[in-house]
Amino acid sequence: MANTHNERLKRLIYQTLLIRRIEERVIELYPSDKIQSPVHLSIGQEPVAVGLCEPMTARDVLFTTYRGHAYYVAKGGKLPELMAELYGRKGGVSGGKAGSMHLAAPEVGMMGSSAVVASTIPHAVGAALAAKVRGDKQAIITIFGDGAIEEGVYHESLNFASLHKLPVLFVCENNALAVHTPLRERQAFDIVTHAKAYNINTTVIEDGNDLIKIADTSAKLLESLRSGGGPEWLMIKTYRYKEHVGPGDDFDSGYRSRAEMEKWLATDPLYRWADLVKEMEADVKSEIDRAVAFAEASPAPGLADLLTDVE
Amino acid sequence: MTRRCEETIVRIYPDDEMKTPMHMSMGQEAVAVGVCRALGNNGDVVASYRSHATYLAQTEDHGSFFGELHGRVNGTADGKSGSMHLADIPKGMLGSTGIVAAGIPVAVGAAFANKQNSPGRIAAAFFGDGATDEGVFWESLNVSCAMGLPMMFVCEDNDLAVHTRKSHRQGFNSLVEVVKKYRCSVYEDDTNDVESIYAMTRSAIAQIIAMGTPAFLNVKTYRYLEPCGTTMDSDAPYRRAEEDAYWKGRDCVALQRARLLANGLAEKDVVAVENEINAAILASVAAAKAAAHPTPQQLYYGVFYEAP
Amino acid sequence: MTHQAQPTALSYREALFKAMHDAMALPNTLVFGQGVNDHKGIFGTTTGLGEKFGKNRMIEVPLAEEGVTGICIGAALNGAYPINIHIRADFVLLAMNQIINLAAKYKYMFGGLFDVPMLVRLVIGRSWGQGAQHSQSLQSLFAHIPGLRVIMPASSGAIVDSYAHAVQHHRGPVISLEHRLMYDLTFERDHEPTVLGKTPFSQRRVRKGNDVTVVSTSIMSLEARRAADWLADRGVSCDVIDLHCVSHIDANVIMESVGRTGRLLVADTSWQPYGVGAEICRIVCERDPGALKAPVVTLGMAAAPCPTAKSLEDIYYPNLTTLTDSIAKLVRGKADHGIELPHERSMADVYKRFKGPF
Ligand SMILES: Cc1ncc(C[n+]2csc(CCOP(=O)(O)OP(=O)(O)O)c2C)c(N)n1
Ligand SMILES: Cc1ncc(C[n+]2csc(CCOP(=O)(O)OP(=O)(O)O)c2C)c(N)n1
Ligand SMILES: [Mg+2]
Repeated sequence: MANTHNERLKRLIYQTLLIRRIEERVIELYPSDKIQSPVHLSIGQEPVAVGLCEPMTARDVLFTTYRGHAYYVAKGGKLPELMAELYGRKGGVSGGKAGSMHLAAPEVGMMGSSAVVASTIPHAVGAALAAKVRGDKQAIITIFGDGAIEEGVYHESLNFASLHKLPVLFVCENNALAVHTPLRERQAFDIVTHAKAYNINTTVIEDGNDLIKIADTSAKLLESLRSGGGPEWLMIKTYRYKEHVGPGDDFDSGYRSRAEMEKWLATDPLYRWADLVKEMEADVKSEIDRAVAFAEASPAPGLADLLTDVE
Repeated sequence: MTRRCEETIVRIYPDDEMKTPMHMSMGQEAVAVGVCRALGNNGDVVASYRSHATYLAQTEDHGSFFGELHGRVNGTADGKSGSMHLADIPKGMLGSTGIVAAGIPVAVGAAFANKQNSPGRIAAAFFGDGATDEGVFWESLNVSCAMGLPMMFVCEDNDLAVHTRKSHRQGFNSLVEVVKKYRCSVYEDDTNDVESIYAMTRSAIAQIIAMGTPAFLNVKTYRYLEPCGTTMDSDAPYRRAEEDAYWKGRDCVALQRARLLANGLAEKDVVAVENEINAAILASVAAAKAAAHPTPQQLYYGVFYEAP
Repeated sequence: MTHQAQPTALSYREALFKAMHDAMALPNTLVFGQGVNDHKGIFGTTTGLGEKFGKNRMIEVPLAEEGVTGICIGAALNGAYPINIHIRADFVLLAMNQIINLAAKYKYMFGGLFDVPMLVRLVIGRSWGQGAQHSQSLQSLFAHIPGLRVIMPASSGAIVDSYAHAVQHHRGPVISLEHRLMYDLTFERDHEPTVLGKTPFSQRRVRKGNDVTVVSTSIMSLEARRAADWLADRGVSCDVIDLHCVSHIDANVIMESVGRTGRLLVADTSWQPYGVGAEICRIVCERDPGALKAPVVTLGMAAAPCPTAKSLEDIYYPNLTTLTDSIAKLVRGKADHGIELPHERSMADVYKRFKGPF
């Protein structure tokens, strides 16, 4: 029993580590200008993606945002195609047309991510409607930041999902920041009781570093969706270590302090399970090296590709 | 006065001299009159396309009202606006729009300006329950609560968006329960009584000024006529006979008339006021019919900002 | 509404009903709209279909244009064919984020990984005091955006064929602008324009002629046919092309006609700046401006928001008289062309059995 628990934890840690090291590689590569695409790094928030995706099958459909590297990997997207996409190469998952903000991997149920805040929330609701009409036991998941809640379309989506009892899981990745603006300056309501007022079950996870708790909660909520229980709403508190967009740190810019991050580092699974991590580093590194090599070798798209897939 | 104006419309609309889609307020007048009287001269209002009552309550000007409906130069906008876009900026009637919920953020903007420039002045947005389906309503509510604006949201809750009931549009049980999650005060009224709505609005205004936070008023009401047009549609499948009877049994104009009589006013004095109103309205209609049509040149006036 | 196997004539409204009916007969179609299941049924184009096919597929929606458009996209991504109806084109402006940022780009932005097959039906209001926010003709706005297919069906046949093609074959988003004034007009099957291409989205020839090319959209194609009929009796022969699909124009069709006539008039239902007329001129100027014997003439709405007053509205839109006069001037090369003109003050007076309020 202890052993299986360990295996599971190892898998979760491995994925978390993989995402962390991929993004650190992006940071490393960024000055070379090989990656010419704005990157919204998830460093610090990876456990949320890893935990949520653990119980999902490839048939379960996930919609996420411009902060999407972690979900691409956690949902099972291929690394070489990811790297090549960041490089803007033909071998990228979208042939270089997507870049960092529009990752997708339909074969594993990762739908297109969008750079427009809140814009994929209604997509999940629509996908859930299609599943329900078909009588399909698919679960649909939408990930969004705390800032997305201020958009009207969030309300329209919640209302519709509740009205039609759709199999959709709303997940708010709450890092308490929209770019540099804290939650309390932007929101005049408590988002949890507010969602509950829409007749939607709500769950809150205070520690976005608790991989097992996130994964177990996700499993339970997805099961409820599949058994026709109607929409679910989950908020996970988490913390972004890096600047909003770009590879740097920004603790000197005045809107937040390093002390905040240190609080989160205390439960960061990659520090907490440092010995496990150590054992995994070599494998992770070689996986990433292979992906980078693939990207480097992949040709750039050209004129012949410019006008394909417009319509 | 509002009721009589609309009754006049019902009577003369078939003549086809007022070529504009009418969204009638009939049955719902108490909301606009109660709120606008409570605001007095110290409010700005933005209405929806169902704006007759709001316009008349805020401006008391049926002369330009009928001019506009007739598409004549003595209208509120030289006849360019018609029924859905009535406005009178000096009187604090900042406009009405044919796009559901589109006026709400405009009122929030007015509230923002009032907070800076005219302390004590309040902006009110009138809208139907259908407008609360729109995301922009929630954005407006959040922004005005977060900024602490002197803003009043007035929901004219007739349970219907065109022919669709709230139960087919709303995933929640009660709008006010959701709105209560915001930093604002919430008021409800189900009396159809203009004086009760007036009193409620007075407390809301006091609260807005004392607390520096918005107020949300949910006023239950009932639309007598079809959603757009001037005829009764009591037989339409979405109507409910008992609901119709219930609301017509507590008609806001009849209610107020009965109160005036009970308060000791003589029947003949009430009739005299009614006759005065009727005569004034007939004069307005006649003036509108006599007024000139806009000239072809007017087609292009006001498209762009022109420096004075 | 009865429908026989192959009716010889169909009103625009009946054609829309048939198109909606046939679409709903396919199991993966979902129809979304405010009022689809009420007793008015989107001007009679969806009446009874909820009862027949299920209200879980004929979906009454809240007033949430952006949200519902996003829901359509998500449903399309998950195997459905969504049709979203707005009773006025003006209301879709609330959904521009989803249409332009998402639906139009979904295929390209992800390198061809996804298709978003869907149909958005927009009704253009006109006449009888619709005013500035219930009357706009927004085709140029959409046609400007790569990834969208924009059509303006101008006959019952155009509706039936194009909607069937959209639902069954086309894999991308289609925006269709229907004209409210056409709803009660009946179109004879034998008088349908000739389709000038391989799919129902192609341009159509309304009438063949040699003196002037008239390129028109939507209800202006009906006006162009009437003007051409009038002028044919007075010695002017018009080549009338109903553009139908304004986003994808076969330049050869335009150039072939202009090559024969040497004269071009474009009659659109919308504003001229950056509009259909401008686009047709681009096509001609980039290919062979020398084909023109006279400057191009374009007609459209006056460059102002739509006024409500009838006296202003009548001069806001071009009508049969102004159109006929413009063609005659262009062909004769002078203002006093001596050709008798039809007398008609307002198109709405002719087309309407439509008399308010909506
Ligand atoms: C509609 C829209 N408005 C503004 C932006 C600019 N923008 C990008 S991310 C962001 C903050 C979003 O915050 P949140 O939803 O909390 O997500 P986070 O970045 O914290 O993960 C903003 C304002 C945008 N991309 N789209
Ligand atoms: C954005 C937009 N969507 C749809 C419409 C069409 N429409 C006009 S009124 C209306 C119903 C609005 O209901 P509600 O807000 O409750 O106001 P009421 O008519 O009941 O006063 C609808 C759907 C519109 N005018 N604007
Ligand atoms: Mg955030």
